Amino acid sequence: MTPQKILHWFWLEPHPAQAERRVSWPVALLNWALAFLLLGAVCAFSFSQLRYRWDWQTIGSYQGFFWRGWWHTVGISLVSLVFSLLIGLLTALARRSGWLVLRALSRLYVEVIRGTPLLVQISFAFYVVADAFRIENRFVAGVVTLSVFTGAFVGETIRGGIESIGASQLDSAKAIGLTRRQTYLYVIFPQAIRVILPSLAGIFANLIKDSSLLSIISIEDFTWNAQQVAALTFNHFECYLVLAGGYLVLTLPITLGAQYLERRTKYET
Amino acid sequence: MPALDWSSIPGALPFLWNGMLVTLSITGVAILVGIVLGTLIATARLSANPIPSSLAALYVNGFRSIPLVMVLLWFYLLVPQLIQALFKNPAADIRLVSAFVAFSLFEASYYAEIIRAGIQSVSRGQVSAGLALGMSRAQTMRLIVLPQAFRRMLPLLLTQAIILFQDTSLVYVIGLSEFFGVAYRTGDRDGTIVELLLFAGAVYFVLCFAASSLVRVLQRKIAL
Repeated sequence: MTPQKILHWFWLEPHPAQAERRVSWPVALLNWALAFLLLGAVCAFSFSQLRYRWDWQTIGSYQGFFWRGWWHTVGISLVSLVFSLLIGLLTALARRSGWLVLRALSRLYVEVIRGTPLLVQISFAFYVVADAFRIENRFVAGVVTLSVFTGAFVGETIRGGIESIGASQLDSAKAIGLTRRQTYLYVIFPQAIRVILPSLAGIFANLIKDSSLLSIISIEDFTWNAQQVAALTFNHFECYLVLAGGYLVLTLPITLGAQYLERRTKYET
Repeated sequence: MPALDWSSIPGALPFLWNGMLVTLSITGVAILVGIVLGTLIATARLSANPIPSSLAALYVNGFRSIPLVMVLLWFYLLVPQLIQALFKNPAADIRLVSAFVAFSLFEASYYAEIIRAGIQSVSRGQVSAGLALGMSRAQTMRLIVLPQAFRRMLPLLLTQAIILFQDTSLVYVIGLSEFFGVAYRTGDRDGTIVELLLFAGAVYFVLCFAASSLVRVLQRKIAL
């Protein structure tokens, strides 16, 4: 076996079906175990190189701190999700409305949100907007910023879903005498939801991850709490491991669910 | 609301420019390494061999499930010590190297997903045709599938690059002075945080909007 052949075998051999092959679950399990083992070996080697002394005892005594932060992150994400869905829906509808003003406004909103980093938006919302409107509560400011940020992406996704519905569908709806509202309710949304749902799951996962940025305005979320504990105890590795685990528990199911939905709703065209 | 005071910006422009250079260098390195590594991971993920395939899936899902801020914090802890342990000589700017490594590895997972989708979007008939012509699987991949796939995913790759450009502002967590960091600190120093934030936001917006407009034009041009 030449090295080249080995390389091809590992990297450049696409499966004939060009899709992940359906393997039986024991094989899949074995491979995942192997993959984890390899990853673990790499990590173990790295840490042995560092000669790091693990100290989980100290971290354990700050357990409550981590839990509170984790729940805050969950709460902020859920509330922001609801608001961003509302904002997104309104944006998508405004984008398709008959009024030029509304169309321009929703376009501007989406472009501005997508054209600036979330970090700039959070600082701006906190130092300028929250100040101007006398919003004292950091959580409110944080949730509003996150909802407005995510709302733009939700809006674009919904718009994409709506636009994926063929023109003939709309014509048929008009032909059988459906009103605009009825068309949306009974023709567009039921079909669009199939396109929208997988992306929406991805957006929700992003929302959870983006909420970690709220720690810069000292909102006591998971990241902020973990950083505080790390600063107090100097056990950085332990804290960040807990942090990684906490986010993985939240986002991994969503990511995998999104992939599953994507497979389920895909059909050959 | 007091009148805006823009006077602290002209003096800070050289620093802001230096910050922008840091931002651009991180973006550039991450795009390059990300696309190369991402292609390898994507092909591994589509491989018929389940070992590289599940390793690649682990890599992609793992990186995509944790916040970038955390990745940066992690690599800021790991990279300097690993460099010390492996090479015995500390690098010039450890923060910049950490940022390079963290962004490259992080972006690779995102690029891998885009490239995988691109490869899968090339119809099966193309692969069959390549194989029927007597090409090996690797040749089919390299000469037939990848060129078409890259053409199709170019707009997405560029959009990801724009997102990456914005995300570089997150290196504030490891104290690196890129564009946003410089703007923020200048504003903090002179008490003109509102003006500097507006300025930074405007610069990001103009650059990103111009880039995404270009992507849109490109999309129309190269559509297959």
